Amino acid sequence: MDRILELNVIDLKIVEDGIGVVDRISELPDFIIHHIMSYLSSEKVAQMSVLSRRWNYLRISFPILVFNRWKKKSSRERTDEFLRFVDASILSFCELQVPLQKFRLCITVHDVEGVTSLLDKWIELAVAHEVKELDLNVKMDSDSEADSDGDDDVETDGDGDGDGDGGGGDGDGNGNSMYSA
Amino acid sequence: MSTPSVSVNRVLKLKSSDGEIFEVKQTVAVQSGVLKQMMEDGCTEGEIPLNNVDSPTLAKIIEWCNKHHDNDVEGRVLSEEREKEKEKEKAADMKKWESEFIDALNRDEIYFLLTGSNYMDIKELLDCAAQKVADMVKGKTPEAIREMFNIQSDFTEEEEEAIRKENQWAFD
Repeated sequence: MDRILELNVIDLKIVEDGIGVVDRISELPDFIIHHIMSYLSSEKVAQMSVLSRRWNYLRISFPILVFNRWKKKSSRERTDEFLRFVDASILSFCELQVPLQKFRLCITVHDVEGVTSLLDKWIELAVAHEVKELDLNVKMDSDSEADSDGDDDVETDGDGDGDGDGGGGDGDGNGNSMYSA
Repeated sequence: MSTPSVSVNRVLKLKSSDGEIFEVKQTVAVQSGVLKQMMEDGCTEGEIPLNNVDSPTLAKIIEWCNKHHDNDVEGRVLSEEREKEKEKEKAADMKKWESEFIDALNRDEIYFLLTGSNYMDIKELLDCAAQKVADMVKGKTPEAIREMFNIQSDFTEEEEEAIRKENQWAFD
């Protein structure tokens, strides 16, 4: 009798520990998962989009868009690939028509001309989606080799350029992007 | 008839989704945004049904609130120069207590704590549980994350490959 009871207790324990049972985490409301994601790096969040369709959607709709490719030395091809990823991410987020909390980009590019129109477009989209925090840092690859290898980390200088009347005219350049011509 | 103000000795009767009644001091219950609002509106007579929180979860939530309440009360007793030092110690002790509290929970319990603290609007507890899930995910490959949470991929092989390619920079 006692032995049977013991077995039952063990069975229950296995169920309690959640081994081989339901996937509850995917059932959480979007904003709770987004809250969890806010504690993770942008790389981790991007990696999680391969988990399932639900998680891919959760990555797309995550209102904190942070893209960091500051230090990495990469070929023109890889940089272009990264720019396409940023572009696709912003476009798919904006299709959802929900407010954007944060847009942060730190990137080293090979030629500035190639990205100015993209930057203009992204800033316009971010502002149109009521971005609260906007922080863009663009560095030329050739410059970084020549002198400024010392930039340890990118500080957020977010001057809150997002709201207000910045949207209409693009005369104010590219937010706080750093151009060294 | 009753005054809406919070009083030290008065208790609220919380009823979990499975019908269990929990008594909680009003001074403790204010940590829940929802209960605080109800107290301000003066509608906390009788049993308060919490239809989205089961009794094991509610017990955990109350344990959390009691602990944080005790800490607050003690903090107010000594308001001398040593207060700062003492505060630091207390914060460290609380951090330790919080991590032990959350580490003792299994994945389902964390899930219910997330939904329960969200439903009752207890921000600190929601943050703590969310941080815990984030810590569980850190340093793990997507495969390991899937296994940990029993997430079934509903992508075809080609689709998954495409998504992986799209996000390639994150895997470098």
